[in-house]
Amino acid sequence: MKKSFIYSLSVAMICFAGSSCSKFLDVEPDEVLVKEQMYRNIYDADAAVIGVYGKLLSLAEQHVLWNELRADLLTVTNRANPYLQEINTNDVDAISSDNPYVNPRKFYEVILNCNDVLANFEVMRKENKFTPEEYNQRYSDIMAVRSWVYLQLGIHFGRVPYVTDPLEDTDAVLDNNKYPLLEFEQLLTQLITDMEAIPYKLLYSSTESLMYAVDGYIMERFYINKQSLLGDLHLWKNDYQKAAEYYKLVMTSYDNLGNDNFRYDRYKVKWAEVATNNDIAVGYLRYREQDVRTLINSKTQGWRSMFSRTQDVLWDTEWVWSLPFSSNFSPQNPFISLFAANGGDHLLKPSQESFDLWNSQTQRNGVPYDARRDLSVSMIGKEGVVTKYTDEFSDIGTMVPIDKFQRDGKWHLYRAAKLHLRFAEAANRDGHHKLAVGLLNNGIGRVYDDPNQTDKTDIQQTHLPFPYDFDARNGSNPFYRGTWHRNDGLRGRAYVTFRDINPTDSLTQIENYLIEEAALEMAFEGSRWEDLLRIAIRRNDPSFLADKIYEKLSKEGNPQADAVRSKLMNRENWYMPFKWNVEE
Amino acid sequence: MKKHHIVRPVIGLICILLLQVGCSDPWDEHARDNAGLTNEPLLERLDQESEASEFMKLLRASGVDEILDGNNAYTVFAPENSRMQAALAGLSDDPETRVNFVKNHIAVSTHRLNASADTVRLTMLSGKTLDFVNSEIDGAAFSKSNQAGTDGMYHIITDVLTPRQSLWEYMNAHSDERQNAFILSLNEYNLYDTAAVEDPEDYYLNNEFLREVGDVRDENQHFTYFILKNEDFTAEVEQFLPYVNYRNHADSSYAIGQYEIVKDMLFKQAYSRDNLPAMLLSTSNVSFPVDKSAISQSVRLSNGWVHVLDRSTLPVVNKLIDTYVQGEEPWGFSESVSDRTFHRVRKDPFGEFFTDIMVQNHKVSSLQIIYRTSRMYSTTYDVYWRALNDIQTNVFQQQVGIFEFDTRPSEEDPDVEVRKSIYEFPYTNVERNNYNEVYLGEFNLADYNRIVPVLRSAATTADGNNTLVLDYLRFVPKLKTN
Repeated sequence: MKKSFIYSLSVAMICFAGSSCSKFLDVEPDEVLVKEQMYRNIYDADAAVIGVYGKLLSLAEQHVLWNELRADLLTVTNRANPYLQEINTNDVDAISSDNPYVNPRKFYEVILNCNDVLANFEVMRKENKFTPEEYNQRYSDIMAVRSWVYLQLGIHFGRVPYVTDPLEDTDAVLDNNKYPLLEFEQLLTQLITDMEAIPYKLLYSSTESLMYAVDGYIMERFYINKQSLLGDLHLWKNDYQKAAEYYKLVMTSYDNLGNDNFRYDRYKVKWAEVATNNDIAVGYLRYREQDVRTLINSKTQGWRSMFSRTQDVLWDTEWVWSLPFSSNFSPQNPFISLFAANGGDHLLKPSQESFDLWNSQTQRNGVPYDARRDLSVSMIGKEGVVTKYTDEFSDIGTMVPIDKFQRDGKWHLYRAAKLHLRFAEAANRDGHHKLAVGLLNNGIGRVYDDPNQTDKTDIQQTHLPFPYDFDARNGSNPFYRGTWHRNDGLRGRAYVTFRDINPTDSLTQIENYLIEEAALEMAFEGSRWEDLLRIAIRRNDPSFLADKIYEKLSKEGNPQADAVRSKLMNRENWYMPFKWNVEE
Repeated sequence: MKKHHIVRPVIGLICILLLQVGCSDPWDEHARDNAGLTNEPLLERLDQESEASEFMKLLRASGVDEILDGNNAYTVFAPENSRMQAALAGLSDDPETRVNFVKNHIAVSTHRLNASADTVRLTMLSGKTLDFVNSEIDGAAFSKSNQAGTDGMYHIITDVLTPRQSLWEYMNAHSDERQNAFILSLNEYNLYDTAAVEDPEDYYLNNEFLREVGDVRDENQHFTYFILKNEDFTAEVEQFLPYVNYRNHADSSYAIGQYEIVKDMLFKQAYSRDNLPAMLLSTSNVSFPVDKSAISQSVRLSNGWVHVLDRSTLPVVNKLIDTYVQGEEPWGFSESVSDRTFHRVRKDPFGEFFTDIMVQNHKVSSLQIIYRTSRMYSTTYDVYWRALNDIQTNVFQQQVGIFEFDTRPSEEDPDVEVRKSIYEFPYTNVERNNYNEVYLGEFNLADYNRIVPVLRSAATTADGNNTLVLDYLRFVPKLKTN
């Protein structure tokens, strides 16, 4: 009888367990990799590095929402949920506490992951489990990823806890006693210290195992570019000379490999190939430039192709950092849902303000708008659709998915245009206005040229010390081909007319033009809010930021436009509320 | 020993109780949300409704009750008894009329009371569409709402929903009016000598008015239609005859004249007399001045309003609207120059974008771009172009010729069909950076027909001098003063 009592009791217990509905199947698997077994050799270390980047990918959606939807070029469609609308309106007091897009928790998960990997790398190093060279490269890479994530947090939250411990529990970050909040300026100083201290600032050496191609994907531009991050950090800190130095190192990083095409083309914002259109410039069919129907609007040729072409020679001339999404691995590409009208949910669209910016430009064939408008955006009825993220997914003409299960795409993080604009911003602030204008307008060779002189020996170059030394000589007799002779300037490459510079206040005017060019060239690529905030802080002029958000909101008839403008005139309201709900 | 016998069922009971509370049942929740729903069929519920007894009598007498057989869900809008009695007195005994009357109170599917300001357009079994908005259906208020049965729902309303005529039904019922008679005659009669084979059963295919001006049979569109008294209508047509001279054929021209009058009497919004704006725009872009004092009678229709006019309010000059020919929409070229043909986009001094056509460096002497228009009135036209010469440093010349649309056998070779010239404007300078219209002159069109304008380049093969450029041609019809 006792046996049957135990039997019925156990039936009751099973019923009880079953009745609670959840956590029933949370059984710990038998074969678990214990932490101590995880870092044994170089391959474990490589797996840890790739793991960090895998986690980093999960930040892509928030990164673009924070930097573009908060800013003036991107807005919501009427299909967007209220959380997205809150980000669009950008009234930080009115953001719901449960808005998942604002929650910075995932960013700290990446940071803690980095901290854990860094700590273990140090242990491995002490135990001689990999060589100093192997250690230096991997350690520096992960430190750069962490610094990049911190920079993003600083830009959008103003003051954030700076944690370098490998914590098991992400929520422990919120303990303000242990991890006090760092002001953005303090954070910048800290990040510069961290990044200047890393032992290795170049790309992984080509012999490193992390550089082996994976699934046909070339890994060279998969990892963060540490020098461009250092350039950005110094630019935020208004240390223009330092910023320009790091940017210049990136621009010239392929110069001394014994390959002239690398030297002339990579990161040089190269001129258009008007005869073949095999370039990444804005162009038309030759001798039919007057015919708008011949605009090169393709996935294999011209400016638009840089967002969807395979990693070929031309792709290599532009991209500095680009992370791939593939249907074959997690996380899934978040951009198709956000942007695609067909196969996605079309939650976001270009703002009227972005159209107005493009429509105020003139192409060099007289067409009264910037062709980058039609190469960045398609129209469905009267509503725009951002195509930069979906060109791999859908057909250009019909906008129908080529294969709706192939949701490949890229997170466009850094490219030559951004590099040139930021270098020009630093150079302009450092007193080199003419150089900045050359990079913005029609190329270094042309601004330093004298067309009446056939001997180019002493012209078409800056005659300045590093990092402002540029040789763009392109002479026939005597023959010269300077490293920068193919540089076309950003507006040259985009086939738009050149900016006239007013000599009396060239500094502010050029800076305004550089920021506006970034909007025209890199709209929706996740750097607009950064640009507006950086200039507003530098000039101590909140209206630089507030007016632009006002323009977006008022042009779409948002009743909050005036209220949001006056709020943004106060720096405190630039930052989103730093909090997340701790799960019990 | 015995104790355990008690414990076992108790444990079993706990078991069952725990299972019960463990997960909620979505079906129970669903049922809770629909409190008030009974398990009786709709017809049984209506039979118990005292205020619906008069309506139920008519429903059964007309045989429409057989539709409510439980195979589909319906919503019945039953008028109160007093209203039904009043309405029955004026209702004809014709069974079809009665069936239609009843069907106009029933809609497929269930529709709860719509208290919002957003209009729900309900299609009733009669085929008519009624507006359901602000707790009213077609203006009738609800005295009892949302009464559900297993196969539908009913509401008690404070007025009957008598089916109204559609505009098409109205025209058929008032075919003694010449204006309506003409529109109806288009079911059989073709305005132009088109050889299209048309289905005599399908008015829409044959009737030019339904096809081109508005399908007034459609219950889902809204219309405002003005109707002239017979003598006014005839006078209007007579007055307009000089503009519609079709091949010097009196009967055809008269029919076209009538068509040209009625096409500007229909508008695709519904306006009651009080809501009429001062000016309406017809489908052919003619502005129609509204003079409410000229309206002697207004009739509400299921899909709009008819207003009877005592006098004509539309002056002929309003009907003479400009015809534009867009440069970038050519019909053809005298030689293939597609490689040298540019569709350009430019901004005019007012900031408006426009697209034009430019054919440049094509090495053809007297190259022609050929256009065509829709039918144009037989009158004199002033002709303008806008042609922007902005990328060349020299001034060049081009000319416009007007040709008949219909071809005829050539005098030299009767096997070759040619288009006869109507008028040729002289070669005219295209000055640099001129965004203004340039007046070319006037020409007379004798026949109401389409025309073929041709843009011709200079008679030279020299690049830069034989360039053609055109934003648009504008034809301004003139009032005849006889």
